[in-house]
Amino acid sequence: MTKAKMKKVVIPKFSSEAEEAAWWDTHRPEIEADIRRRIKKKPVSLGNLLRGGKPSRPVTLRVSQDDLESARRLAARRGLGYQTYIKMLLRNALSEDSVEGVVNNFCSYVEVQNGFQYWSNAGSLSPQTQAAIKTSDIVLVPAEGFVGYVGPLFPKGTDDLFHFLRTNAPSYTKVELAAEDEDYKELALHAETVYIATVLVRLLVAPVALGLIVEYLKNRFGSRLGKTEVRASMILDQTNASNTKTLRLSYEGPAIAFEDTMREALSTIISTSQPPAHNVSGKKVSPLGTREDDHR
Amino acid sequence: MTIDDVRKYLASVRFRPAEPDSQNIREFLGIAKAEAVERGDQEGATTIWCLETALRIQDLYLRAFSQMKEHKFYQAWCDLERAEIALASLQRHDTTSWTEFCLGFIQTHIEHWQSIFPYKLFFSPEFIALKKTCSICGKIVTPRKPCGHIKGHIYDGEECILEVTPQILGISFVDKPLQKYSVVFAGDPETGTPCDQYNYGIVEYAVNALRNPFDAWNVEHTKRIQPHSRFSHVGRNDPCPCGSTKKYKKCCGPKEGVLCPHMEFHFDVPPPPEIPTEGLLAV
Repeated sequence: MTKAKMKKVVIPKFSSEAEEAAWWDTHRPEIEADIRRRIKKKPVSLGNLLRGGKPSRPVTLRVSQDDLESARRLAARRGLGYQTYIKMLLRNALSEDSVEGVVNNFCSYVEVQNGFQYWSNAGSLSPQTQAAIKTSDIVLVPAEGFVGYVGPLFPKGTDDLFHFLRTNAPSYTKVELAAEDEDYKELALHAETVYIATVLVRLLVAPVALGLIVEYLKNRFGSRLGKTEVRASMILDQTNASNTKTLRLSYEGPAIAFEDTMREALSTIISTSQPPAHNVSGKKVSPLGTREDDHR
Repeated sequence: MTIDDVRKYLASVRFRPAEPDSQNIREFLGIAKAEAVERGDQEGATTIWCLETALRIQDLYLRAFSQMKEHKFYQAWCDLERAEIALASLQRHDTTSWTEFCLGFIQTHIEHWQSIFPYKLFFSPEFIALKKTCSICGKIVTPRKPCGHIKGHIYDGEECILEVTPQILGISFVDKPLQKYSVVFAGDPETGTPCDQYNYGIVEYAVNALRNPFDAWNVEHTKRIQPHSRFSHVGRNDPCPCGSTKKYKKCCGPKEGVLCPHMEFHFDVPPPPEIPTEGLLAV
């Protein structure tokens, strides 16, 4: 038995509203048939949309009676089952709470706790180093241990990077290392991947830091960059801004895509972290659209 | 002998015999370098270091080629890697004689040779560098207290390298190693001695087709359809010979043939007549 080939209805780009209206007029039967076919194939419902493909698991959760009554009431007002409504609220809250995202194939970010506040008070560091970190703009921070070895570890060549940053950073940009000299240890993973130490940086200095890292890579690896993979992380500390989330932006991919990908990611993060601007009418406007709009 | 004689020797590498003896040249350069260092001529010492390194690269490449002719493939692989490392060092300092001394040719062709070797899996150590020592001054180097010497630079005609005291944490398998010499070899189950289980047919083909190590050649890694008749020994439910993990009957079975990895060789100088130039199947 052969399956009939389903023609996908593609909505073209229109140059005018009149053209758009005409297209919808002529294609209406086609669109209706397409919708009927799709509903038959898989029922469209809020449930299906929320599920997003992965099967769900039943969990037992003790919930207060008051909350359950509120949920039933508010769900009824929206025309939803109370359990569907609760799951919808859960999903919204989770996405707002965990700042996590994927920029593209090579770049992702996640919220972390250990920014400048943490490192300028870290017990493993001397008071002098702690004080130096407090006033620094760029700090190379270690990873915590590896396969049975407990202690701060930096990727191979971090001292080289440290010297490079100190020598080439602008005079007003202070660079520090979050380890005492005698505790400084490097981990060498001898594959061809280039591991860059995690760079803790104040958000607005991040583009400068990125530029320096790119220069370092070109300087040290030259033409071999074309065949190499890079793993790098930047911890973007925004504690001076109204939005106090500290993000770790990680890159894992080909060296040749590193600069452009990270610049794009940084500019997105920087622009979304700006405090809301005010437009002409005095109403608050945020760069990406606001939750207030959604709740009208 | 003069420095100019050395340059002429280096420039005539194409005509050097298969097993060259550069011992007297190396000795001459060693003495000349020591003299330059004596009179404080850092630039002169560095120039001689460059000539020494160029000579070393050429000798390693020639030796690798001879070893391949004698079927000592793993030794050739190691010599090719040594030459590759020396080229990277030299490239940081002086590329003026790159073409004259055929170093560009050697660099490109080392890549070609490495791409046709059958090694796919390597050991890679994971270790912690407990301390680093400068090879020039012997001092321990720390991030805030560098010794003043820069890794890779030439001081008194010697390259500064950092010697590391390691603490090995483990060994992993990788396919893109930094240390190419750590090839995975099988061990004889009875004696425990390493045995070479690799099929060097392709490397043998290339080295037999070349009369002179400096005859240029190129290899294109592509795919080609081979007729099913060549795979009559492969069952329908066996993994497809094309290298995908699917079953033969699900993968290339329904197609007109098996899409096999294929290497297309291009030789600047035509190979000897007894070398076939069409349709070889490396199994």
